[in-house]
Amino acid sequence: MNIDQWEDKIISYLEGDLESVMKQEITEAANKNKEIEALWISYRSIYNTIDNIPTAETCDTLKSNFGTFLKKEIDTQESKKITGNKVIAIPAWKKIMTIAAVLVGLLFIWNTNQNNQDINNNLAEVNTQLEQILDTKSSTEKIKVIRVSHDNQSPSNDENTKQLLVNVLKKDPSSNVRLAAVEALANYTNDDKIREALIKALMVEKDGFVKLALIKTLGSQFDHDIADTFEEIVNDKTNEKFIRDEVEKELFRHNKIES
Amino acid sequence: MLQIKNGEIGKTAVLFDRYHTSIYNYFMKIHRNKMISQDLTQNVFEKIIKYRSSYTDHKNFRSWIFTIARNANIDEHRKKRPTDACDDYITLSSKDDNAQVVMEKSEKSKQLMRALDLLPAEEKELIVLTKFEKMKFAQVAEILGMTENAVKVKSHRTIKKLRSILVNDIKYEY
Repeated sequence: MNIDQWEDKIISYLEGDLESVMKQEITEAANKNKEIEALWISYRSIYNTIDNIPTAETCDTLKSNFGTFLKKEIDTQESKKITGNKVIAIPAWKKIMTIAAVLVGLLFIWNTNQNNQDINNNLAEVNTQLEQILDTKSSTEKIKVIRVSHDNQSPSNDENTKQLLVNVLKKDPSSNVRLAAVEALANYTNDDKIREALIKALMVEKDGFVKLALIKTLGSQFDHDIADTFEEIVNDKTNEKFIRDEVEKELFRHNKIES
Repeated sequence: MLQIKNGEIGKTAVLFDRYHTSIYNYFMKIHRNKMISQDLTQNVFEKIIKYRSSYTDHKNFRSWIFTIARNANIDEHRKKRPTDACDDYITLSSKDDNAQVVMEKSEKSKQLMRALDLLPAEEKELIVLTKFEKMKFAQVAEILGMTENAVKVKSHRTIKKLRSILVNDIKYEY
């Protein structure tokens, strides 16, 4: 074998194309021939250096710029859908009925508000606190406020509370705080918007415990969208095995109920 | 990706989380410039949304996204933006190595990046895809529009060339 052929063998070996017995042959040849030895050492060093080069970390601007772009695209898509729909003329009697229904509804809400003035006062206070917690540094304080938000007597009527909790789930850097937000949002899974927000959170969440809580919460209100998301998670082998197992368990449980 | 193709473009955020580091590193190895690499990475994900209808599920997604990255790269070469190579991300650290070993490894890494710069663009790209991104020859073949065997042969020749540059021109100490 000439030196060029040895060079090819060494590369093939380092590429993982040759069997381990070849290493013995290469080592023996390198011991006998200085030129082959130099080739072997240099290639091994080059391959090691390639493996040692660290992954360059991306900066937050890249993610936030893409987030802004994506939001704009989604908004454009949504507005296209709206303008694409036909404008249907509503008959006058339907308009009157709608106004009447709204007035009855407002009267009912006003009446309920009167009865629950104290609760709402508390709720307003909780919402103010929730708004502020994204800026609070202590995770313990944040968790305390989130817990108060769903220990409240009638928080489910308040859209603001729900939205604030969704914001916490989306933005808070602490997994424990996000976990508390999932627990609180579990009270509202009959709300389509909340279910949608939980599905979105599950697709981007990195923390295993928060993921598990989201899977359990969504599993309790299983529907077509949730099934699709779950199937996507099971099929994606990059997800951790325990997550895929948990999702599979939920899918199996619901398939059994359906059959 | 099929969901994105069907109009759920919000799901691109998931793909971004999964692939942006890999794509950014591909550009960093080629341009060694953070600003250009960030611009190009953003550009790739914008193109995923723009060209989502061209994706077919029989195609390997990683190959598809790297094909978009490659095209973005070709466009960038045409622009010929002035660049300052920057290797400050090659700061190695290891609990097991002492300071001298870490310094030697960092120096070797920088020499390797300099040698890569001396290769023609397509050979440099081949090394980045096969050696740094650890892509299979079949995937690289799909991206470069070559046969798997041709990629294998070319990759073999290019690594020989890289060694020759390192040893003879850069005075790499192995």
